Parts: sequence; structure tokens; C-alpha cells
Amino acid sequence: MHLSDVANIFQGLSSFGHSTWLMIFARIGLIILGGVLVYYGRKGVLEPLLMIPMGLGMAMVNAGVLFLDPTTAAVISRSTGEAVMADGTIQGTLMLAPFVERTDDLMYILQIDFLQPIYTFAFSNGLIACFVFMGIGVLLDVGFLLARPFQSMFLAMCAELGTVATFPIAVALGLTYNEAASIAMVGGADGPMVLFTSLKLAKHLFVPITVVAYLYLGLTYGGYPYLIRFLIPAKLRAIRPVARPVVKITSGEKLAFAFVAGTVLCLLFPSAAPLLLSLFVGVAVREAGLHYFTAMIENTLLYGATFFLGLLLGVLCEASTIFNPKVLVLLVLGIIALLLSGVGGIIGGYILYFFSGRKVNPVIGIAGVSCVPSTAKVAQKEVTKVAPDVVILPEALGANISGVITSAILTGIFVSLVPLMQ
Amino acid sequence: MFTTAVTTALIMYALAGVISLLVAGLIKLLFVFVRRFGGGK
Repeated sequence: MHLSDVANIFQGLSSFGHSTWLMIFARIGLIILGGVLVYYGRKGVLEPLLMIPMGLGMAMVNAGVLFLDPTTAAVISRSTGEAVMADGTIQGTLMLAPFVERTDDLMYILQIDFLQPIYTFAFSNGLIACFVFMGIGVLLDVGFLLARPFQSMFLAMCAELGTVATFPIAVALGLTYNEAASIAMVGGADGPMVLFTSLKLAKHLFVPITVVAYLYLGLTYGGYPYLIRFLIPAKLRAIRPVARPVVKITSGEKLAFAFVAGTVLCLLFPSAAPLLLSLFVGVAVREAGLHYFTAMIENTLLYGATFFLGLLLGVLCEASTIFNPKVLVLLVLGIIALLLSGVGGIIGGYILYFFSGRKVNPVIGIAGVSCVPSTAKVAQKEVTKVAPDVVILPEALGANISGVITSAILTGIFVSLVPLMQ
Repeated sequence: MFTTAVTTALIMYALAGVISLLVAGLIKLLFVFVRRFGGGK
């Protein structure tokens, strides 16, 4: 027995000795980042429902690297092209192998990696994203949108500035059209849409793009207040919306809206139909008063999907999976997309402010960024700080819900048109 | 490639704007129909 055999007991540690310096730093950095996500999730700075499972997954997948047996190593090597070591082994984990695609290899890995069944049957086909969208649909009260459809949709379109403007910027930075469209969707601030678009257009980059998107979406809650304070003076933030007669919307009208809007959008964009169906079926279930279904979607499906989404995103952050030469570009483009969308939303708020004779509070514009309901809550919070008795939440929620619809529209356009570009 | 991307982005934005207006108009239309024929107020 040699000293090296003792080291083999602790493969998580000994695997460091067989890695490049870059990979060693990457693994250690990701373990620390996982801890940071858990810490800020617990503090409430980042979304805890997503960040705590994600942080744990990220730290533990990078710690739990081992030498896979020669049979498994051959399967992984065949899919990733990574060379096996002299003894026939390869470094990997027992959690997930995202790049295995051949049916027989996949059947083998499904019996080895414990998260592989959820990844293969629920994540990589967009099912989890659809479950989250059903949950969002159940939580949405489309009455806020129906009360002021033109104003809400206008603000939401302005807040898609980041999605549209990031596309040519990404192309200028060397990404292909499909990759550029996938990262540009971060500007829509809608996690499931980003996941869906990148799966359709740039499957080889969907892991880093989705991780970047969810990391940044967690930051909107912390970053957008500064953008509002920077671009809108306190005097304008304190504008009290003009009292308008309350438009009462019946549940029948909301159900009719879900049916017609969903069907028309599916007719226009069949490629985004799974997401659209999921969103509007959630709205329909809520408005039809199907309480058992509402409770099932709101509690079991939404929370179950969010938990596994967070855990899988964390586990996908294994150093060798996430480290792609394009990651740095994606990190920069993600922040540009979200920043431009926030600015676009505020520009929309200002346009309404001027066209209404200075009666509309421009802060509602930021709620057009469809991070439901975070951006609407951020808008109200910033207004409350300067004018505690001013309420803009109903109008902000209208813009917020419209943001989900405009994101779905742009997803449909990207997924349909971008592959046609040469 | 960049010029094509800018042109496409503008076209896509315009298209998305038109469809959003269509959806908003649809909502207004629904209101008129449901309130006139559905007995709502």
C-alpha cells in the first residue's frame, strides 16, 4: 500500500492535484460563491427560495469531484470529448452529466447520477420552466392589466429595450445570432423565458446563460432601486397618481382574456406555445375558481419546480461545465441587458409623465421589467421612501404583468426569426 | 453581420410593438363584447 492509495480515499481533495491551476481556482471560487449565495439568500438580499438550494448545489458539486470508473469515464468522454487519464478514469461527479445526449449513454448515466432523471425529464425539455410559469399564472391578477391595457403594454415594451439592444451588441462581441438572441433574453428579466430560448437556440451555452440570468435576476431587487434614484429625482418619485374611477373586472372577463390572448399568441408564435399555455392555464385555473388546482399549482408545482430549478442550477455550476471561453462575455452582456431594460422602462415612465401633463409617476416604468412581482414591489418601495402615502402598486402591477406577455412575444419572435438569419 | 443584427433588432422591436398593441386592442375589444353581451358591468 502506497501513500497515494490513502490520498485516493479523499478523492475530492486528491482531484485538485490532477487539475490545472485555472480549474483549481475555479472550483475554489465557485465553492466560495456558493457560500456567498447562501449567506445573502438567508439575509434576504437575494431570493432565498432559489439562492439557498443553488448555493449549496454550487459549493457541493465543486467539492464532490471524484475519479469515475473506466466504464462511466468512457461514456462521459464519448459525449464531451474530454480525454480519459492513463488509468482509464476521468474526473466527474455523481450528481449530473449535462452533456451526455446519446440514448444508450443517457440510459447508463440515468442509473448513476442522482439528479440526472430530473435534469433529463424536467429541466432540459423546459418542463420546470413551464411549471414555474403555471405558478406565475396562478399568482397573477390580470385585472391590473385589463384596467389599463395600452398604458401597461406600452411600458412593458419600453422595458424590453435591453432585450432588443443587447442582440446587436452581443453580435458585435463575436457571438453567433442564436447565442446573441439567447443572452439578450436576459433583458426580459424572465428566468423561464431565458431557459426556454437558450434551450431552443444555443443548447451548448444554455447552462452558463441560465446561470447568469438567474444570478442577475436575484440582483434586480438590490440594484434597480439605485437606478431609480439615479434617474428620477425625489420630487418626481413623490407624484401622486390622479384618482381614476375603479374599473371592476369580473373573473369571467379575466377568464375570457386568458382564453383569447393565449390562443391568439399561440397562433402567432407556436414555438413559444408551451410557455404561453402554461402561463394562461394558470390564469384560467385561478379565474375559474378551481381552488384545488390553484392550491396544487401554487404550492406543490411552483415551489417544487423552484426548489429543483435552484438545486439544478447550482449543480450545473460545476467548474468544468460552466467554464466556457464565452462566459465572461455572457456576464457582461447579461448586466447590460438588465440595465438597458431598466433604463428603457424608466424612459417609458417619463414619456407617460410628459404626455399625461406631468400626472403619471415615472417610477411605474421600471415595473415594465417583467420580474414578477419584484420590480413592481421595488417601484412601490422607492415611492414610499419619499412619499409614504402615495400608492402606485396597482399601475405598477399592470405594467409588470404586461412585461411577462411582452417577454413571451419577444421569445416567440426570437425563436421563430433568429434561426432564419444567415 | 453587425448591421444585419441592428436592422433585425429594430424590425423585431417594431413587430413586438405591433403585436403588443394588438393584444392591448384585443383586451379593449373583449371588454366591449363581454360587457355588451355577457351582462357584466
